Amino acid sequence: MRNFKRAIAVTLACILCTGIVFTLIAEVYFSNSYYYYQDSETRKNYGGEIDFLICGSSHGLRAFSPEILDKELDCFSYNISGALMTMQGRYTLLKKEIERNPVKTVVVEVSYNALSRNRVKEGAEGDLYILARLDNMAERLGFFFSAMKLSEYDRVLYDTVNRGVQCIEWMTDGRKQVDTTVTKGYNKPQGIYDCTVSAETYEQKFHYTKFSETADEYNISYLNKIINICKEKNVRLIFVVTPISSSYEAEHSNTDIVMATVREIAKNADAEFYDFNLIKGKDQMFPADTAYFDISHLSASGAETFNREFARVITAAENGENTDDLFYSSYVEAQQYYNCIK
Amino acid sequence: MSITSVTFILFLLVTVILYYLIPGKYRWLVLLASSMFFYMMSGISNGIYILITALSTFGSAIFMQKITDSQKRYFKENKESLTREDKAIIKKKNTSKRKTLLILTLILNFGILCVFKYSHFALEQFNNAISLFGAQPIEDTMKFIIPLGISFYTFQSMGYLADVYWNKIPAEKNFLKLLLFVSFFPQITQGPISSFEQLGKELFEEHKFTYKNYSWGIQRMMWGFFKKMVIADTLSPWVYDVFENYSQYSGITTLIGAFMYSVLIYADFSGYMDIVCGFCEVLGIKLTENFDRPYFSKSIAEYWRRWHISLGVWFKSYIYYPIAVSGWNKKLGKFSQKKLGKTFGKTVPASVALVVVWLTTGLWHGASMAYVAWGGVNGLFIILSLWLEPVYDKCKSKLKIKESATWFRAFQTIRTFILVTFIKVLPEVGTLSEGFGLWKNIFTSRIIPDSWQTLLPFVDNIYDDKSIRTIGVVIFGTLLIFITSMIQRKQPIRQFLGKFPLIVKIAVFVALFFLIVYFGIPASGNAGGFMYAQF
Repeated sequence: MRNFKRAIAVTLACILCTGIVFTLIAEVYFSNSYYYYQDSETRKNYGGEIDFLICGSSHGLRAFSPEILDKELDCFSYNISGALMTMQGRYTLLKKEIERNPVKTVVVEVSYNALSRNRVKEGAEGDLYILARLDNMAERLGFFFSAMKLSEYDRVLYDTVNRGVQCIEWMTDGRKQVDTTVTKGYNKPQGIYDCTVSAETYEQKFHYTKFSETADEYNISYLNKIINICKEKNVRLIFVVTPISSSYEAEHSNTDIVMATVREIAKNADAEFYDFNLIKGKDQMFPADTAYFDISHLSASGAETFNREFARVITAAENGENTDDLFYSSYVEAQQYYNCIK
Repeated sequence: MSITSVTFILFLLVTVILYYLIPGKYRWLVLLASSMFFYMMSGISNGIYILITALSTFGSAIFMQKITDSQKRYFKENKESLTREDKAIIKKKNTSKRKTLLILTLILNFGILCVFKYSHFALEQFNNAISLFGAQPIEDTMKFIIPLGISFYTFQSMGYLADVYWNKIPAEKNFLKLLLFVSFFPQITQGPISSFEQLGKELFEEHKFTYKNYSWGIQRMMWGFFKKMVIADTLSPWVYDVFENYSQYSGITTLIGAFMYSVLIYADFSGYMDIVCGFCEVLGIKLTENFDRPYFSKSIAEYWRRWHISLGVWFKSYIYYPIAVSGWNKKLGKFSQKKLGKTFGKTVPASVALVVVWLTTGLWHGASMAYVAWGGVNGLFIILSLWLEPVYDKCKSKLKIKESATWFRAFQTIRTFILVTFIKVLPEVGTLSEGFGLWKNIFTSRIIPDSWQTLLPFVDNIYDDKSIRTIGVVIFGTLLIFITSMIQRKQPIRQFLGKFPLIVKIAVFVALFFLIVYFGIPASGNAGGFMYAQF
């Protein structure tokens, strides 16, 4: 028994010391904002003011600029999108912001892979960013245990320590923290990519995936939670597909099938749905050589146009105008039109 | 289940807790359940093959034992009436029965092993042979997934069967106990290959929880994780980059790659051993040691006595000795002594046995001609040193070199390390010709590196802070292995650590933990599993 007690005591001492060192390193990461997504302090400070929320993955992150939307829509908007953001991540942040703000409108970016992305295959990266966007350790632990799988625990541990070490270095180097009060969640892309090149070039340059038609149950369940919370709080819900380059889009013949699920969900939820890949005059609005940062994300100038167009469309809809005429009804129809012009 | 995953660590934790919760007599059942669970995690269908091996070994050993026992009984009961000739006839008959059983079981089990491991290789060689006569090669459509640890558990069970056949040990009467011996999870993927006499005793004996076993075990596991995840997994992509692109790299870069491989394979394999031996130590079970500071060896033969010790012992016990003492080999020895002289002729039987041992060792490590050649080169060095021993002795006495002189021992150690490194890389590059190509590149490449980037092209962004840190930690880790090996010459490293206050030991634990997290986790994700698991 003495042996056993001693073993327990020493084990606890080791765990305690390891925990203390880990907490110190992690705290440097969590309590600072050296990364663009570390905006919890800003969101906390804006608490009670935000009435227009945008959530989505990197497509939303690169597309929605609150600065422009605030001017165009006379609102106080915030973009909580994040790279590789999972539906659970979106729901977690959205719920938090809806609860502490007088939110009137929620925009959910639902690109071609929003529902088909597989959390198991894709890994923990998106959820790792969420950990750093929550307010305190209790929230982080809650999200950690609900979103992370046992096999990902070591990855989380590494990521936190690695970023902590990086932050300690930046602190000692005197590096400035990211001012998220100005960007309000928008990550302005630096540079453009000429999307007039062939699809083969895309394949070589970018991670290229086919549009999957199978919606993941996990995504659907969290999207339903988002819908429910919006209904509960009487919030206007808008589903948006942000523009991707036309030649990338033309590579896929099944986009209508992929997007049909989203349309169906939007219809059942009484939510608005706008697919900006189907907006008439897309090629002029979003020129292939300047409007994109890469094949599926908007550049700064592309985003500027997009925000104005988006504001125009939703204002028209709010005023009771019929916006259907502004869009083609399907990708097949849009493609036929473009083929005709060519 | 990867041995460096969180899931595996939790699995170990659950096993330890259950093991000590259950009364001592039944603890081996916890180990059996854990082993079965671990094995089935690799694929339920794999379980069939290990079960065939366990069942056939068990049945065969029991039959052999029955024959021996009934013979003993018969001799005892008819002590008066049996003549020496009668006894010899009965013995011969029974031995023949036992031999048939042994051979059939060996054919079955080595047959399964060969089908899985060597079918592609055999077909390739067959195609090469028939193509010489202009025949069309047969298309290789075989698709096998090699059952986890098949080489290790087959060797271990066949060793047990041979021991029963030689009456070294009695056959185990409890099938579940034998199944545990065959499938004991810490050693199933990479050994050590243990004898039933040694491991059986450890597995079925009651072990009390002691603080010393617990702390020493955990310390050894941490050291193992450090070696495997921080050193081996970091080096792995670098080494294989050199092996794949050596023709574009300078000789010095290729040489660095070769030496890195020596460090990598030692850190990988001994790291695994430290993890599993450490875990068993927590349970109070002592596993056979597989390493004894092998890079401090003074000759190739000594190196092989200190590297993968359990495999060496297996080959010595079950292949080398039976061949060396066989009737035909003894006759060959006498014949050679007559024809070649006493000194040289005496070494012939041992040399013949060594040739067989080393060619099979090569084949065991991999089904390719490169591995056979690797085994051959190892054997050649050992046989040559056996033959040339008298010449060396004469040279040493003429030059007045003292065997015990520090400089001479250092020279022998460095020479052996260099030789071992060159032999080791031979099959790892790919084909045999590529292996020789790498050797050639070391000596003939005229590229002169003019920067760190060209000297170490396998390191991405070499001037990046993290890359510099990673190189630093690998060098630090390698030095640490060297220093601990030096300390171990005098005393076990954990005994040495034991002299320090608890706070220092905790600090070492915390430091190792964070080094593993910071460097090891990303590296282990890149490098994949353990290298020896492929055998």
